[in-house]
Amino acid sequence: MLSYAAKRAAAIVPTLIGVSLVTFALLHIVPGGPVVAILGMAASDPKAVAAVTRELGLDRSLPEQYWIWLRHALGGNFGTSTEFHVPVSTLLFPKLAHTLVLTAGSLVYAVLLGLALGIATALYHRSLFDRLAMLLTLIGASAPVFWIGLLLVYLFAIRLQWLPALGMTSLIGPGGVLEVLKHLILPAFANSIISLAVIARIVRSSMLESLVQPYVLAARARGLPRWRQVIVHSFRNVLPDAITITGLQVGFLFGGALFVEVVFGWPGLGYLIYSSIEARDYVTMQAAVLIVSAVFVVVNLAADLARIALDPREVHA
Amino acid sequence: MPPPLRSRAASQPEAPLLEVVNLTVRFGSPVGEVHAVEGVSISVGAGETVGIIGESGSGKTVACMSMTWLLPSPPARYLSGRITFKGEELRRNDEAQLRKVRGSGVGMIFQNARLSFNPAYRLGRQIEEVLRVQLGRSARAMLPEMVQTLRYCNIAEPEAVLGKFPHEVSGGVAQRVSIALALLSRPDLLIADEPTTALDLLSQIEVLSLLARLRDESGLSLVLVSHDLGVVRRIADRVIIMYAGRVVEEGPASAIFAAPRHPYTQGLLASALQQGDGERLYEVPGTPPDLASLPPGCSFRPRCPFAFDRCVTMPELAPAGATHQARCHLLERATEHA
Repeated sequence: MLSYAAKRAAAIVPTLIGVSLVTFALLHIVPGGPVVAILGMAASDPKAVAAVTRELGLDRSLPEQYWIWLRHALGGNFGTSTEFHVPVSTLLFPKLAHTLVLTAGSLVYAVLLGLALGIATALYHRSLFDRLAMLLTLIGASAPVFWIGLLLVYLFAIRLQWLPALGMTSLIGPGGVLEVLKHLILPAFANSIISLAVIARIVRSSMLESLVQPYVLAARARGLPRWRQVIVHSFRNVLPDAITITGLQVGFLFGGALFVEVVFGWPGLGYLIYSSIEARDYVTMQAAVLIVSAVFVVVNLAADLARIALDPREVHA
Repeated sequence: MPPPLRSRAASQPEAPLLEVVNLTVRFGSPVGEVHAVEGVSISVGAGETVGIIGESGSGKTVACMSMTWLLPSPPARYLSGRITFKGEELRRNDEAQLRKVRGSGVGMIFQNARLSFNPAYRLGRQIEEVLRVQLGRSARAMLPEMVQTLRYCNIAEPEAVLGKFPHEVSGGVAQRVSIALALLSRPDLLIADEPTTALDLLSQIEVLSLLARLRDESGLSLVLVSHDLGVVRRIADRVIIMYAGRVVEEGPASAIFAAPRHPYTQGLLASALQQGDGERLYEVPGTPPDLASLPPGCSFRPRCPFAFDRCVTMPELAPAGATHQARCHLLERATEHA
């Protein structure tokens, strides 16, 4: 198990190197380049262009540029934002925290509602409720998160005016935790829908299998109440499946959060990437993409290891 | 073969402990409706041991499970039936009442005891759960009684077994643990559905003697379901033979085994008794019926060596002696000829 974990962890190094190469290349692939973006109208002056190019180190060879950038990035120095004129790292890490909060909120929705829906549909198998819920999960799992987000904004923020759609500024703002939670409800729900649907479907099919096991009938014959038959006996044997599928959803929710942030103005990494693209702030964008990719890879590794810890047979599979 | 064990209470004239009247259970299936149990009536007296015999698909298991309305509906469809336990009618939708009867009134043990325990929990924990829910007593308070009862059920090291998972014990041990669990709830009736079928020969004998001892020492009523005549013969006071969802013969064990009246029972006895005498084994000809498309008339007709014109109508269960009944047109013909 440990040696497998080490092997699996070592395997993410090439992935991360690949990610860094692609991210680095972004800067040189996009039309216009950073110099024009920084200088704007002044880009017609060749002297200014030469000065900025030297300042950014763009006059050196590509491998040299990559090496310098990577060394600094590993040390937490991602350069200075061309838009906000502050070190990118001071922008990045608070945003990362915001994105992780949104991811965690989405996970809570996906797990709680997914489990509840999966268990309930299994109990009322083939009923109207079951059919309707399965249809909705199919639609939910197929819909893009930003579209669902827009629908939610329209319904709950604009028509009903129950919840705010925008206005989340900082985790340590004046409203405190309650204010953050209020702002979290809609975006986290929008982001959770696909994972919620996936978890509900997996739990439902596992429950259907587990509910007809002899030990559940025996529990009934021994006079145990229905909820014990369902939760203590059936669901206990669905738990490994549920944990596995949930682990796989974490990375997915993190990625989805980036899109949802743009719709809800959630000040996280996704919104940062979006606004830095708009402002042609390549340095910030590059750093944000690198961090997002790294977190994604690490989260998936963690989910994978957790699943293996639960089922040692996976090691040899 | 060990000598037959007979209960001290051979027949009880008073009101039965459990009475099933005209039970009909069907199941929907892709090939048509399966007629699992058709108009079955069974009564079990206090202290009585009733053996129910039939091949797979005869409805014996469904009939037994229905004694406490145990099978979930759907898929089971209960078309008719009235069940009384200790003089009180069991209402099918009254979960609160049924929960009290299940376990503490009517205990049940299953064919595969290991599968009747949850693979995720230790045996001790599963026993505690049942006792806590039923008797409201803590595990610590129950421990001496648990150990004592397991020992009574021939479990040599009760404490060790309580700490094991179901897959860590043999089928025979699991079955004896499940019997112990049923006993701890102090039921009036124990239903044993093929309790020895999944076991090796030694475990079979052990479990069977345990059941016989129980019946003799505790005054417990017992319903023993089996396809094995030898098992039923050893401990049953009264025997019910089922075929294709119906009771085809019923009577005192002595009468059934000495003078079976239904051709199916005769065939079963012939196939059981001839074993080991070197001659070709006798078996009931043909295959068990398809419960989704039963022939009209007597269900046994296609396999019956004595079938005649009258068998295209379903015979009624008719007296074949003082306490003996059979469902066969041959009975009428016998009285007509007499």
